[in-house]
Amino acid sequence: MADTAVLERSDVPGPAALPVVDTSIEVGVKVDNVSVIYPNGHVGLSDASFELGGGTICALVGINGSGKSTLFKAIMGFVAPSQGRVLLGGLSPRDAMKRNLVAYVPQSEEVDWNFPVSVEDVVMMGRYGYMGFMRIPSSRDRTKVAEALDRVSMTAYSERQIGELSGGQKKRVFLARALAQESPIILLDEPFTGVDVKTETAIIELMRLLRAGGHMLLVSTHNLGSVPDFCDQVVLIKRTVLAAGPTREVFTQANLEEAFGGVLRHFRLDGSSLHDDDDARGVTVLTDDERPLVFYGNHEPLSREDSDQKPRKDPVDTAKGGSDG
Amino acid sequence: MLDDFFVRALVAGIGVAIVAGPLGCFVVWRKMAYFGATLSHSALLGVAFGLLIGIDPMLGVAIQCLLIVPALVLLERLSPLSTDSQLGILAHGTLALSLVIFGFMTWIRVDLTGYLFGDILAVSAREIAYIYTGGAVVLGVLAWIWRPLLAATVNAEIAAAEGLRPERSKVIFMFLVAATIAIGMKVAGVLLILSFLIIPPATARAYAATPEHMAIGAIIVGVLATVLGLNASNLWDTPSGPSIVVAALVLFIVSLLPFKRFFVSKRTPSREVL
Repeated sequence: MADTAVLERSDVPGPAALPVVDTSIEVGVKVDNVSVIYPNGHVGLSDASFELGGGTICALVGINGSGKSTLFKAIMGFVAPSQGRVLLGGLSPRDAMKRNLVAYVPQSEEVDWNFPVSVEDVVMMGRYGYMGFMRIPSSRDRTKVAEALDRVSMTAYSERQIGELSGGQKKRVFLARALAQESPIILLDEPFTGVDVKTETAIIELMRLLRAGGHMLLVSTHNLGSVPDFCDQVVLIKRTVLAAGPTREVFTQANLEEAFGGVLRHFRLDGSSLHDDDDARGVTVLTDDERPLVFYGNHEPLSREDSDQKPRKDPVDTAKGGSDG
Repeated sequence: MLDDFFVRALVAGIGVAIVAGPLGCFVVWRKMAYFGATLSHSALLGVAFGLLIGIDPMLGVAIQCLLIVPALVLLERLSPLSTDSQLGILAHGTLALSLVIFGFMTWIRVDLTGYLFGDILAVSAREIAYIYTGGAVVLGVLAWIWRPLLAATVNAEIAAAEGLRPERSKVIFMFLVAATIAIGMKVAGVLLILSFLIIPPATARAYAATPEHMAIGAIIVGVLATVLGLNASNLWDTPSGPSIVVAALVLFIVSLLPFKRFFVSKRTPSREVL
């Protein structure tokens, strides 16, 4: 029921319906010719460039070790580029952090949970940037925390110890913290890893809400199949930016094969083994085993809404033979 | 009142327990026990140099701690070795080096046992003044960095993204641990002082629902262990510093027993979400 509560709220505009970005803030990320070389000589990223504006959800897609985390680190200013620069809302990462322009949702596995801290306390930490020297929460801070918890359907858990939560619930708590922070730019590191489908749907719905409110979301994901569903922009990365732009143009079979060359499971079913009619289109399935990405005929990715409307056989049912990876 | 050596010991021990409790919570949360052991073992080197150049050993330890923290931070950034190995090398390397230096100083008779295991019954009024003024500074700074440090402990990267500067809090925290070891060395010695930082917070953990509760609980456990340990050592004529540590250990073991279900009501959410 919790997830439908999130879904329904978007249909009913209320006072706390939409987290909206202050229009006076310039929202956007500009990565300009950035190279990162680690002290041990390892090249994390070379000549990466792309630009994103407000009101977008952008997928950051690439294999493990392709430089996704390096790019995140460069955007947040944790590593200094050896060449090029990163601008967040026109500011350097350090200045952007000071103005609370960026929120980060990590993979929850990286968090130490053996710590007596409640869900509410963790979300309140997102408000520290708004508090004074003694960091005593104001009533506005408390309201924002309550709203954020409500938004991710974790209000009932606000008093719980963070260590008692499941993986999906921890992820929700960190999302709530990012919401409470009220930053226009939100970076999400593998938000769907280790969460169930219901939570994934809720997270996607929340991201759409944030996009509608003018936020910019950059999401690193392995979940190729859901990218066309909710991302309007894609950055493909393999030590550099292979391609960046609208999903329809960038998230193509040719680009993905270049980005993932040989790493992903790759099925190809030709028209003749799918149909009894004259339709010559084949089905190509690219998957890293979670949610497959399906190309049907003309090398454009199918979102789930698209595929539900088009009459076709389910490739999973017909996937016999034809595997070349 | 401070004329009596037992009262002085009690006042000194309680002072160290009050400082070490809240600070030790972070040592436990951040899994920095070995870091603490390294700092405390290397403190003996400060004593050795202090005696060598003829200054107060406590001052020697303070200076040495000011040097060892930047050394550790630098080593962590530059060395390809794991932090664990670096700490192991420094902890025992410095301990051995200081014992060798003591060996060369034939003109001074060094009470090694006192430095290694503490000499709380010989605490002077001046040392008590050190403990309380130093302790007040440590607790003041800790209160100042409490929330950024807490945020960095939950997740350093989120804290950094929020502009809370976790690296800065961490280095300040390391200095606070070093300072606490310097003021607590007289009470429990370089080999046992760490137990003041670890055992009381670990004991309080079982009953704490918030970080602040755990810090206060650690103070209570530390003070209780000091009072019990000193009285037991008086009663049975056992070494005082180790008696306090044993008392803390007993309290820790008691905390593992399943009493807490009688104190802590299990909070369950009113409705099931997911």
